[in-house]
Amino acid sequence: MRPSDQLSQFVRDALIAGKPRDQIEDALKQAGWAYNEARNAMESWADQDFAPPIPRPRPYLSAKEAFFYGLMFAALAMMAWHLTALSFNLIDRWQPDSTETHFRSYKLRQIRWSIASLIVFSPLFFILNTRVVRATKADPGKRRSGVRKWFSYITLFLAAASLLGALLWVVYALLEGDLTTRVICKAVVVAVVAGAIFSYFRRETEGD
Amino acid sequence: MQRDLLPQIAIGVLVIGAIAFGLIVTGGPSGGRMQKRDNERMKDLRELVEFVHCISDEKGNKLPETLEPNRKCHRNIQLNDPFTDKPYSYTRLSYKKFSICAEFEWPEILPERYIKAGGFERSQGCAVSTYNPN
Repeated sequence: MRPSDQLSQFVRDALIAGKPRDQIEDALKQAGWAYNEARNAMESWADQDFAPPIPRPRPYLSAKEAFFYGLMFAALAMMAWHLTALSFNLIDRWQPDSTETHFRSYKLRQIRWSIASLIVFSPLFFILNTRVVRATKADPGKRRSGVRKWFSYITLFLAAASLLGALLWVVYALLEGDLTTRVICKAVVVAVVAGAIFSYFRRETEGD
Repeated sequence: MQRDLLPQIAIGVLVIGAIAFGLIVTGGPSGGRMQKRDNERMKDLRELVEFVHCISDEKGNKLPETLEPNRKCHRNIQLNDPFTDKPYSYTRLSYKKFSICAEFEWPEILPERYIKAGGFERSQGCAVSTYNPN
């Protein structure tokens, strides 16, 4: 049974047992449910003298959350990807491969594309993220949102995979005898970007 | 609170730094326009090389002394740089070899293009080609 179903079931049982509504709500808060969660659980049963308690029609909130978090994580993904791609191209410019006769002009186009993506998606991510942080502070129950949890864990997984990938790449380059400044710099970029995202979402999911 | 913000600050600083360096490397909008003008010049040089091969065929298998429009080889050629209006410089290097040069603004990043029976000298901005009469 999902926590929200359990909560709903408990309220129903308590109402059938004839407990007063405010007492049930207090009990929920004492047990650690956030104010909004307790409120919602109470409101999901109609305040009528009828046994058994009548469920109220509930709005389905996950679609809105999915839109919001979906947008935020898409912005994060675009930002992380293009930050890494742009850094790689800049490192290539700074430490050219000895086999390359000149800096390829298509790379300049890639750099411009990455700059454009960063200009659009980084502010979007930071704005959405600030809103999420503020909303979570106002209502700690939001931490338990299923959509948010899924997105956070998928992000954590991808960040962890990137970190491991970077480590693997460095070890392989070392064994191949190709551990140049170029490779080290690129690995450092991946480590910093994935590491920052990892540590941020690790904190987000703390206490799960 | 400070610890919470650290990853965000790190990413923010990286993003701003990457954008700044990216703009320096690409030269911003003016760099893009430079690149497009140079591409246009490069296209002209390629066409001029083909044009020289064509008029050499027409004029008794000899390289022409100067570049002038020719009826039989009336391709869509540009004898002058379309942006500065300076003529492209045509030089006969030997009786078979010739070069056509342009003043490129950013030759280091010019894309490698095929030049008929020759190649491109990046440092001078010249297309060099060898005419082999049939």
